[in-house]
Amino acid sequence: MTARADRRAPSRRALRPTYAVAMPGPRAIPLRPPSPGPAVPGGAAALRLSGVTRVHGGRPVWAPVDLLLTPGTLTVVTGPNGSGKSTLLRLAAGLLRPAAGTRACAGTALYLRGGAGLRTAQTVRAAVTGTAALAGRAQAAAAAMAALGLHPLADRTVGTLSAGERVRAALAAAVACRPAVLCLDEPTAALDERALDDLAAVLDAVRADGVALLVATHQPGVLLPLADAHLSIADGRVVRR
Amino acid sequence: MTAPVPRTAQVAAVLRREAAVERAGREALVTTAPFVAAFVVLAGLAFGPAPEDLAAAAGGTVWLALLVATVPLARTVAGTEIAEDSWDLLRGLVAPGALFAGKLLAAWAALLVTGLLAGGLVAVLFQVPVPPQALYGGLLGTLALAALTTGFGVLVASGSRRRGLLAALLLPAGLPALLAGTQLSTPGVPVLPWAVLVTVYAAAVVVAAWAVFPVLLEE
Repeated sequence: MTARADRRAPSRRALRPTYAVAMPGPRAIPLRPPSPGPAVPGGAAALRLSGVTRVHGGRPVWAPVDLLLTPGTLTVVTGPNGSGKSTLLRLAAGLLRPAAGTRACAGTALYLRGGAGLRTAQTVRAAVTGTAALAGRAQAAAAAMAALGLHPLADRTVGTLSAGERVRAALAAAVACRPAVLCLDEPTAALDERALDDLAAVLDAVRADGVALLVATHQPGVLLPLADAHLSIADGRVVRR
Repeated sequence: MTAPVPRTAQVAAVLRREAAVERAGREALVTTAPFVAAFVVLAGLAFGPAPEDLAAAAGGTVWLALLVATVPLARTVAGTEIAEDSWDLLRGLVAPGALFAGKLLAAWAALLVTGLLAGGLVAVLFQVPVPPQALYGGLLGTLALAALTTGFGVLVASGSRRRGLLAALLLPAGLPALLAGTQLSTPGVPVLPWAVLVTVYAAAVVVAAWAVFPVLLEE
């Protein structure tokens, strides 16, 4: 069973005008190629899961799954609560060890839950820069913040941001680290309609820069039109794609 | 292509991040420091006012304060990170060995500052001299407690049902540091056996915590 996200020619669509206040003009996120990682068998794949399963408490929670993500693609994962979306994303990010099967990733894979990921006591600038420094890319933090329209918020503490602003801050930190794969678990939760549109624009720009995105959501409406692939899952298996 | 980040650079980045978070939130400053100060003052009132009684209780007071301070400190290793959903991002970016070393050094620094605060207050309030071997015991004893704090901090944070076990696990596991540190802080006590105990204990705890840390991360 292979859920394949076919590669599209990278869209150079700029961020939507929602960011006009924060951003002087359209711009792509200025990033460098992904950090080197182990080669992924099968060509220019960002991530490949082959026959991966997961067992928890002696009970299988994921049937063998194959997943291929290519750079610059957006794969949306939907399914009811408890269906295994988070587990699949955490397996893809390498945070969970599979009971069987193999995982190969051509660089860093990052996982963000609910769009969060930064320490709430820090300012946006310090949190994004500090996170990027962990990947040796502190110098990329300012550009990532600018691309996501965060400069007006740079001196605010993360804990004071709205849900949508917090998602953008976490995405800026992750994007500055230049991952090959970015797994976003319910980034649309708690976002209003405008913030959802903003998020879609940001994800489109991140994808256009070559990052493979794997996004689990209960609100796929705004993301599906952009998606290169859609996995519908239930009871720890892919039921439709 | 960007080059992989050297492990030492990752350790330094984790340490800088910990310092930046503490500077921003002052969590240790506003919780541990007042707690330790109150602990020492109350111990002085409880054990005093006879100078010989205070002298006998001085070393134990410092090390009890240090040992108890590891419980709130352990939560900052992973518990607070998990509560703020920052733990997974950190794990994705930093190799387990570098994450352990960075967290260990941050916990060690926090315990050294706590020890200096508690020791300084005891020296002033209890009016007791500080023997030179107390410094050796302080360095290695706090290193051992920092390694315990780092390991248990991750173990307990990985399951909500286990959080209540933190004090029950951490306090008895730190007993050798408490005993050796107290004896090395007390003038007139033979130094060698306690110095050997704290050295062997610190080495064993650091190695054990380093070895199990990657496994704990995957739980």
